[in-house]
Amino acid sequence: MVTENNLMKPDNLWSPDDFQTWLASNMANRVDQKRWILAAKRLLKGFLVEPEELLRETVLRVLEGKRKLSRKVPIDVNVYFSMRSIVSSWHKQRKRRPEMSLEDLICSDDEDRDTLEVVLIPDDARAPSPEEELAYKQEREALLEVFSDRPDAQMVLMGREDGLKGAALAEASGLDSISLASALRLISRRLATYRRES
Amino acid sequence: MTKPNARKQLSNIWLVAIEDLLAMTESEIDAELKELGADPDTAAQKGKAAVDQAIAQSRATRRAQMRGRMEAVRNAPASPRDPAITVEMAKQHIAQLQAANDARLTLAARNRDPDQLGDEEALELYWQLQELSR
Repeated sequence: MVTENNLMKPDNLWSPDDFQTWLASNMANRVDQKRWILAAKRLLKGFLVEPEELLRETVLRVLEGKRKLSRKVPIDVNVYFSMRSIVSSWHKQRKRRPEMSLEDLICSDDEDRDTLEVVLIPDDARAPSPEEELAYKQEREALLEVFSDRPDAQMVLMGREDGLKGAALAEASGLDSISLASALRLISRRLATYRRES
Repeated sequence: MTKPNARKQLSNIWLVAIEDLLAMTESEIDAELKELGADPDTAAQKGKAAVDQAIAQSRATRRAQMRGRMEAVRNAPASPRDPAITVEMAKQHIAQLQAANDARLTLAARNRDPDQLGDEEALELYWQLQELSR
């Protein structure tokens, strides 16, 4: 089975020094401090944890090596999806143990990473198994379903999944640049609150 | 263009969430924070404090771990010195290590003839080597 841990070899990872450098240049200005609080607020929508607690936990877990950063994507992408993954583990914990205190919940984490956290898992040379392939397709369909009321956003997602960006994406989805930007913003906000029921 | 596999397609979809966030201007961020009931200035302060606290906590944990390791080394009991080890046995053992060019021997110890070592010196070197082998 593909798990984050068995693919997270040192060569595939950003080092703690890389992360420290990133923190110094990307978390030092007010705009980015607000940006990451906004990211946390979006991810925590409907959840009783303060956004600064999610940001602190994420940075701490990366610094302590409990969360690894894949070199497949830039560090900010890792940070965002680590935040997302932590929120997802909190949801699972809360479901399993509703009596758990908020303090204990915040310190908790899943040992096994979700195999559908595809952005964080380094690429594997082998082809996905039929089960994995099916799981990826089902997840894709579930994500498209989130935008069933917005065919424009679905068109954008279908272009984006094929790797299209900018003018090529606008053309493929039949949108002008303003409508495309608006659709991308909607997608970004809704994806942040998407939670799989499993 | 080749169609990406299902995993890559899924990954591409997810990336929209962060790409748009990273492209947001300050005024867009402020507007959404306000919409979500947060004051942008306070959000910036909380963001900075969260990162500072995480760094401070991580450093404190690392210092505590290092202190723990140092304590463990300091409190580790020394190997019991077997009184049955004689000066002859110690010198013989040192000679064997010299012959094997053993890395535990310092340069000085490597160049000494074991027979020229004093009794106490030979036994002390022998017990130091035993400590290094633990």
